[in-house]
This record gives sequence, C-alpha cells and structure tokens, in this order.
Amino acid sequence: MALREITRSVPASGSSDALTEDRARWIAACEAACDKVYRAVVAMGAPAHDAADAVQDAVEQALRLKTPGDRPEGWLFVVALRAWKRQRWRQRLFYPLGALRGATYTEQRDEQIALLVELAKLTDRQRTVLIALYALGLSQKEIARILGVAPGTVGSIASQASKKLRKRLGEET
Amino acid sequence: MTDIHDPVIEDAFRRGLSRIPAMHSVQVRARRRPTTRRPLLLGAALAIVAVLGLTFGSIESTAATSGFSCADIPTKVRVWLASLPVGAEWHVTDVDGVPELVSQNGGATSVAPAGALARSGCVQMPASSPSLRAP
Repeated sequence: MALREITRSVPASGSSDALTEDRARWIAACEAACDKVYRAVVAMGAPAHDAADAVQDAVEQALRLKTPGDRPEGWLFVVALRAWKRQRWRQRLFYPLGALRGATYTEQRDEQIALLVELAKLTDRQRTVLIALYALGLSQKEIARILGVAPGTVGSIASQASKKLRKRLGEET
Repeated sequence: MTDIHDPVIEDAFRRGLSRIPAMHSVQVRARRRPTTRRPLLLGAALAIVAVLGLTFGSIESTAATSGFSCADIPTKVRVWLASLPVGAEWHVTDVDGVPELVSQNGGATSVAPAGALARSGCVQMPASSPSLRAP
C-alpha cells in the first residue's frame, strides 16, 4: 500500500510540518489497518476496485483528522463504506450515459468464496456487525460506538446473524 | 458483557477473508473516478446548454426578422411570433389605447399577449407600419 505517497500529498492540519509522535503512530496504525479494512469492504459486497478507491478516500480523510484516535479500523471502515455507497449511487445514476459510451457497469461479487455469498444474503446491519466483529476485530463497545447503537443491540444483532450464517455455512459444507 | 464471538464463524471469516486478494499500490494509485465522473458532468452541462441555445436561439432569430427594431421584446411575444406559420401576417390594432398584435391565419384569429409589449415601448401607437410580414 502506497501510504507514504499519500502522506506526502496530504498536508497535516497542524501548523508545523514535523509529524508529532501521535500523528506518526496514527499513520502507522492506518497503514497497518488498510488491508484489513479493504477486505472488510470487499466482504460488504464492494468490487475490488471500488473497495480500493473507498479505502484510499478513507485514509486521506484519516490523515487530515485533527485529533487522531488510537485504533483507526472502525473509523476507516465506516468512512470507506460511506465512500463506496456514494460511488455506487453515482454509478447507478450515470449508468445510462455510461451505456451510451459503451461502458458497462456490473456489480461483480466473488461467487467463489462461500462466506461472501452467504454474507450477501444477510441484512446490511447484520453484515456490518459481523464484519466489524470478525474481520476488523472490533469489540462490542467499539462497534456500538461506530454504528451509533447500544452495545446490547450489537450483541443481539451479532447472535442472530451468527446463528443464521452458521446454519447456512453448515448447509454449504 | 457476554462474549459474542462464535468460534465457527470466526474460523469461516479467517478462511474466507484470506482468499480475497490483498490490495496493492497499483490499484490505489490508478483511481478511476476522475476519468469517469468529470467527462460525464461536462457532457451533461454541454447538453443542457445546447438544448437551451437551440430553443431560445430559434425564437430570438424569428423575432429579430419579424419587423421589430426593439431589442427587448418580451418572451411571451417571441413565443407567439415563433408559433405563427411561415407567411402568416400580423398587424397592430388599438384597443382602448393599448396596442395589440393580431394575426389572422386561415380564418382563425390569434392575439399576442401584447400588454407587456406595449409597456416595453416596442410598438407605439399609431403604428408606423400597421401590417408586417412574419417570417
């Protein structure tokens, strides 16, 4: 991941050029989280190119944050997800123009990976919770904070979705 | 707080996600958005300008060649002039001191919404040329 190039092109919001220790730690954490977040966005149903674009958008925004936190995974995931949904909306809106130019837009999902196929059958909220829990390794509290719901709600969504997914994956194998 | 981790699902995620190819720098640098979005917006803007230009341009040219010397002809009168068939004649009448444009086309009488025209001063009574030929 070319995070070094991005950090050079995006100026930090602080007044000095020198990276503070906190900012350096935040950048390193973002760098470490990129691949994990990318896989999580793909697991949400995004095509690989769109997921890469969305993660890049999220990283650029993360580097502009004035008060960076400790763990960027949840923040990057939510921002990347929003960026992908915006992009998908635009692609659908301009689809007729693209079709006139001969360009085709298809939402390609990896049908080879059973997990992704089964995840696609869950609701958006269930999929988000499971991916945040298992793909990003976030805690129940962290998921509740990024989704703006109570921790108990996260627990209930996770257990319902796990039950459903477990049954479906069991049927597959 | 109870542990909500399910070891079976955790294992399925570990195996499933490991099969997704990693994101690499080439994909990140080669962003497709600028090449897809900008031409679309530019094309849409040009199409709108072209449609407006064709619509109002034709009305403008009709009004300009129909005998008016005033540049500020009200839009309603321009539209009326543009709606007249080729060769139709129109003339100015005096209705209680207010000039009115009337065209008789095959027996059907058409009256222009000429109140605005009179206020703009494009036609003065008595009209210097009571009957002019529309294009």
